[in-house]
Amino acid sequence: MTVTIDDHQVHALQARFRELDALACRAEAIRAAIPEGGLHWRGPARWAYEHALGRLDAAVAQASSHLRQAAQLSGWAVPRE
Amino acid sequence: MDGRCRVSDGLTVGGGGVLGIATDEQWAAADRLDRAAGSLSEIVARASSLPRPALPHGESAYLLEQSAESVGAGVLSLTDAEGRARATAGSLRLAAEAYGLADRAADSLLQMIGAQVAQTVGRLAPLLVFQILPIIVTGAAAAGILEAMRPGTLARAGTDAGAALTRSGLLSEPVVVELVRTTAMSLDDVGLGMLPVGLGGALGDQGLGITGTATAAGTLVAVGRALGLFRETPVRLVGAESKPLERAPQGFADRFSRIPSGERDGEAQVVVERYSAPGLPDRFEVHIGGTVTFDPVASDEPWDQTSNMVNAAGGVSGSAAAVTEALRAAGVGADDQVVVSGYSQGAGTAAAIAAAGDFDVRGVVTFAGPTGQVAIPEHIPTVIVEHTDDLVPALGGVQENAHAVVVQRRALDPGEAGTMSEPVPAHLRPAYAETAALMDDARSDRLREASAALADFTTGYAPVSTTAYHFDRGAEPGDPVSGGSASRRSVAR
Repeated sequence: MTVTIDDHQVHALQARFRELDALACRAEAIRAAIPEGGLHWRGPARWAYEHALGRLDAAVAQASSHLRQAAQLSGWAVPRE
Repeated sequence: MDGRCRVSDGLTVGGGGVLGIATDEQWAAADRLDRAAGSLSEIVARASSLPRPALPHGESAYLLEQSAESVGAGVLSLTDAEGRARATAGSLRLAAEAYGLADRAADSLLQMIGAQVAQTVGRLAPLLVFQILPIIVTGAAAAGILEAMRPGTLARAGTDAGAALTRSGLLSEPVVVELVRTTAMSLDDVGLGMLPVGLGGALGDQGLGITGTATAAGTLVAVGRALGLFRETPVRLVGAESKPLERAPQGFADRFSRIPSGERDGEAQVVVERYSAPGLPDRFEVHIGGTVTFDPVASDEPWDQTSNMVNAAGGVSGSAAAVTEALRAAGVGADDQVVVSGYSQGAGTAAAIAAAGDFDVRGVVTFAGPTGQVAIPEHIPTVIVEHTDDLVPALGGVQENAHAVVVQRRALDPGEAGTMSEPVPAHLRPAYAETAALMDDARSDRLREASAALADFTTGYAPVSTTAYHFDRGAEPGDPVSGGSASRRSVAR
């Protein structure tokens, strides 16, 4: 079954793609702003701090990946010529 | 940053109305995490409110549905990340506050112990005088006879002891510096110990705070004056040179470089910079130099040990009177806005000028000054810089200006002081110049905001002139301070 969508809906999908792609880029940029540890700490405090940073980085990376995927799906939803 | 990557490079930042004490790096990490959390929150808000076009059933609608599910998963991850960022930032600040609390508790404990020991010494003083004085007198007499018989022996011994102390680097050990700080806070307690039991404690730092380092310094000044030392004199303006000012201080290192060194004979001790804006009163930056001579007998130089002691005693020292005179000579009125910076004695004087309230002081920056017990008004933004291996700030006692941003750094690596010829190398200007440069490179919001606030003072104002003033103690005691005999001379900057 072929379903057609109008130009307005195509533009809305394209806008959604751009917006989600930009949000994914922003999330990726935040990863670069997360400290890399390196405080002059030793022992459990250093481990706990660096572990927390690692979990934070992983969460942001996952969020970025989800947003990127959402952007791609929106892009694919735009009908091909 | 070449040559700075040492153990001693870490700046510790505290105060600013917050109890926490942490390295600049730690504050900067907490600030970055908070900013990251803020950005994540914005992305969550935007992704959650993203418009979703209404599509008829079909492939596009299916893909859009899948996209919306991915956005939902992304929002969950973002919210999780935001919570983690805030929690980690909070943990860093909590660690800083715990350290600050522990530091305060340790300070208070040391002060209490120091006060108790000092009061005990005070109570035992009469006994010590009667039991030990004869021994000391006898010993001194014997030493005097020996000295007479063998000229130079004791002097050499004294010199050797001083050199050995310098070689040991003991005076630059942070533990010793803290001990000196505690001792400075406890000196008044020796006298209080001679009072009836209980009364001393009630009057001292741990009680009503009626006595303190100023009382002890005042006592030393009084005793010294009986011996011909620490006799304050009027001061006289003997030189002033103005030249055009190119720009306002660009950060802490530039600010520090404007503080006159006073190292050469006749060099200026105070520099006053004027800034103007159309239709507004002029503003002024004042830079005050450090001690020029440590001679306890007042001679020509107002930046001497007499001024140091009188500053500590809370009186009007020759150097403080000279700075006031320089400001008046520059045309600064009581309502004109001023930012005061100083190094060493100049730092103590800057704090004293702010505390006196004779001028509308809008900022204070002190390097290496004994400022701990000088009550700088809380409304004045203040940055206090001191090395943990520098004895001079410790002589001012525990830092009580809780609103000030206090920057600390160990200037020398462990053991490094013993390889240097100066007794207190961490007090030298090059060490503080290096710290000022590190402060400019600092990343924590606290230091950056302090720097921005100082820069704001002259924003919109054009630099006009810088005038270097030189004073001496040329007047006889009792003469009024004179500002009329300024001669033109060159001042190196």
